[in-house]
Amino acid sequence: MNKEFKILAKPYIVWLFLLAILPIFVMIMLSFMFSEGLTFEESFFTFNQFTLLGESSTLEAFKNSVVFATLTTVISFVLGYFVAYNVFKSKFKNKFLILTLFILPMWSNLLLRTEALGNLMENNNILSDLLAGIGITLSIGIKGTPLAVIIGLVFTYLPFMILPIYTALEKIDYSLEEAALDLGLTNMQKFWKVIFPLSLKGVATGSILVFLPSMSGFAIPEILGSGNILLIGNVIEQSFKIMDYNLGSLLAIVILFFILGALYIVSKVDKEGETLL
Amino acid sequence: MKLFKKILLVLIVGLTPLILSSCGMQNKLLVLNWGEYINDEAVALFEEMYDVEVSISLSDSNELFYSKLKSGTTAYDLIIPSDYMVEKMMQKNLLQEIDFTKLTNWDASYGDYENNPYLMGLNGIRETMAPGTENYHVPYFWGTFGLMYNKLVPGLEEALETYQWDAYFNPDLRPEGTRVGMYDTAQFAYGTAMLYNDLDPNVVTDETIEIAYDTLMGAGFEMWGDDHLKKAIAADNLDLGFVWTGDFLDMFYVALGEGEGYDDVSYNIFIPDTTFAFMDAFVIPKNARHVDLAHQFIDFFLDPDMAYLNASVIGYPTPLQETYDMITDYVGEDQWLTDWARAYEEYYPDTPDFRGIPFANLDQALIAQLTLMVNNVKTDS
Amino acid sequence: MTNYPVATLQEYGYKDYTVLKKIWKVTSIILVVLIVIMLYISVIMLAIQSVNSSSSVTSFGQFTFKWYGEMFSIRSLNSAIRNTFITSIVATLLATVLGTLIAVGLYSFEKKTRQKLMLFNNIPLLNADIVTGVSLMLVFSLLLPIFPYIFGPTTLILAHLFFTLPYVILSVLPKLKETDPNLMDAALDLGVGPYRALLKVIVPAILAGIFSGMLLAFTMSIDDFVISYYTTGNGFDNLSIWIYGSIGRKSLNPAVYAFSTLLTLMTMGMMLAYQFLMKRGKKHETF
Repeated sequence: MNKEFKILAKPYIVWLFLLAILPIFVMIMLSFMFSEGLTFEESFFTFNQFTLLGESSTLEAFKNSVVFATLTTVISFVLGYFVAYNVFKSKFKNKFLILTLFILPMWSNLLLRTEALGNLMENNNILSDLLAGIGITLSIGIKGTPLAVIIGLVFTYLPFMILPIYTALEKIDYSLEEAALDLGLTNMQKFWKVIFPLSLKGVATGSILVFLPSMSGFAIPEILGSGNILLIGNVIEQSFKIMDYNLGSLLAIVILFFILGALYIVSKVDKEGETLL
Repeated sequence: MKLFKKILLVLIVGLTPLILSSCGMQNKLLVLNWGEYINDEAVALFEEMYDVEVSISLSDSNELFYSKLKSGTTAYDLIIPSDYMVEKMMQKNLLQEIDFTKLTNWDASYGDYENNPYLMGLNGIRETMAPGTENYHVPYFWGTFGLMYNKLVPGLEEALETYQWDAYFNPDLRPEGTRVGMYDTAQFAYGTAMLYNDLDPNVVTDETIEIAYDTLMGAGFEMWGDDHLKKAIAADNLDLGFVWTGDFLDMFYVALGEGEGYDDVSYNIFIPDTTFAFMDAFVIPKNARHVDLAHQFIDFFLDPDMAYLNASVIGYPTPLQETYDMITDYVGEDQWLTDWARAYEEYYPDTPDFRGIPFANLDQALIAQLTLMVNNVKTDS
Repeated sequence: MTNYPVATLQEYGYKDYTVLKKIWKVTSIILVVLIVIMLYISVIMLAIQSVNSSSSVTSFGQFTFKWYGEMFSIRSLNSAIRNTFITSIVATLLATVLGTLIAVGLYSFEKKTRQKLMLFNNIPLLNADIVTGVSLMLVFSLLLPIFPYIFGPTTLILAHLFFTLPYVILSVLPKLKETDPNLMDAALDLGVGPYRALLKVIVPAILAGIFSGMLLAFTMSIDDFVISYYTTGNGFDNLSIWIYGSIGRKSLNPAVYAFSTLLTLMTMGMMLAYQFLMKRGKKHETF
């Protein structure tokens, strides 16, 4: 491409710096201070926030976040790979349509969807009401349990796992598969030795796209956990709500380490972020 | 060049909102309110009368009101915070004095009274507020807190009437398997725990936090939520919860409106002898841009007929004596209006001893400690 | 003719998997369908609630379409919907055009520099919603002294632009790499200016990437809540904020369920129509 076009990208770099990098420094500063909201009057340096990191609820929230996010990622990986592979192998004329089918639920508002899911998990809900009319009693009262939160997380973020894996599978050169078969591998072996390793790029990015929002989201744990289950995202949201920007910033910086880790993995596995979609 | 022109066009499209938003500010009243706390019909009437646009933003906690006001991202003309938040905002110099000469309905006479008087319980709350606040606010709605319970659970009603707060916090004193919930606000959890222990709910020390922690752990709460509590109890998914009395009445009015009989509704509220009370009031921020319009809005809702219209969709009691009398004096055919009158007399009696303790204005560090304590309860149980 | 016995797979040493394969295939299809139902279960619940005459989410009154009619008569919902569409459409349009140009710009860099820059590009994508929301609010607050009305549609669109640009760039860049590098040179040789060449030659080649980027940007923008919550102001609320303020309360008018279902159905319809048109287009191609 013409070198002349470089200029098109330069403003974007400035924009990214201002809006993405600069706030990080502000937040690092805020973590070390006590301030009333966002104003810097009456503020002073303190390490108070760091002691809060040791509190049992904060540690438990961290543990919860990591455990839930990992479980969600693993479950989504199994289910997602299964679906992506089957769509890939299928003989549908237009796979684009099938993939759009997976994106479609994301157009409905997340809060509404989670609330609807939460209703299903209560003992008395609209479905049980309808079914009672036909004479079936059904009650799945799992709302407020960790299971409910994990189900909610998987249902919401599964599409984020399916799409990158599918993209990676599509990119595999078919001649490689043919060569494997020619060399005498069975289908099963072909899958494990040839296809799966080549699709790992998609698995990695898909896992990141599921792990990070699961860890840091707060709407789903709050609604489906009936307020009992605290993830780190909930604690951050609480602290911003009561204007404790200092604690919130500190926790946000900690999450940032996870994000940087993810960026590092992406840089090693998928250099240009091709499968991030 | 053609490409540049197209880019320019797109950029102009993007910048129009910026230009338009500054222009559109002229005749738009910005109000920050709690969710479902105003009658949209009344607002529409106001808009017609004064030929303006009213934009109501929602927030669901006093702390959020404060942070929105402090951050200054929006210059609201009217905010409706609770009593302790009014004090805090006044002390932090964020409000401007209300010009009572502009409020024609304030001086309107009613019966033997000269000024449009307020109910006795409300006056009790206002007396506890810091001196000087009366120049900065105009009461909007007020109310109490109580324990909403599911009538379908046998024995729960009696347990509450006998033991009051003890039935809420002590699992032994209530029917087995009662599902209990608490409001997800640290100050409420702490305050009620303090009432159970016969201590002052507005004093926070390290020992009291310990005591509150033990009390809350022992209660075994199944659900922490806001409006989910009242909905869950109505749907028979929860049996007992600490809610605003107005929350209960919101659901009650809807049930009545759908034709259920007054005594047939499956839930009720029990108001303990010592309970909390609150008042929400109009305040005008210092940087409000439409001060006169804000006064007109306040004046509009001080009109007893408008207050009546407003109160008909909101479960909280009106502050005005005249409106209260209008509601409770109703005698007639309409089932809903009769039920409404009855509910008012039952849950908001106009007697001198109907009072409650207002929550105090705790500073940020204390609230952070309380929030931490509640988080510990949630994770440790 | 001598009758030679037909050879079977087993004699060659392979196991007979045909039955197993059939079972596997059927179970796979069932499982995939189940998973799809799983994803859609909440959407179906919303559809049920949209035809429920009772506004309670726990009991079903009667089947009714009245909420669909009421959708446009509730002022707060109406303005929230209108604001959402304005924001998302403007932000998506801006993101698509600017994103394509930026992708072209990035493609012009050498591979190593480009990869480093792409890492920065991924930050908005991977950063937690709430962190992005608050950081954007921090930055915009710094501008308050200069532009007192800045919070509102302006900041909201800027914020949406911030997190949708990376999606467009990530969609367009791979397509750019797939284009024939000689195309540009050929155009230049024929005497076309570089920008005109960009418009007439490169853009049609990467149209699929631009389109999918646009779609993705719109999807992410229309449902955003956390970032919008922190970066809006002056009464310019979008649909997600409206829902957050009234969810679980009486004021959550079921019309919003109707709106949500309608949106889903409309999008599905558009996709199917697009498919149908594509098929017809192909039919006409074959002579």
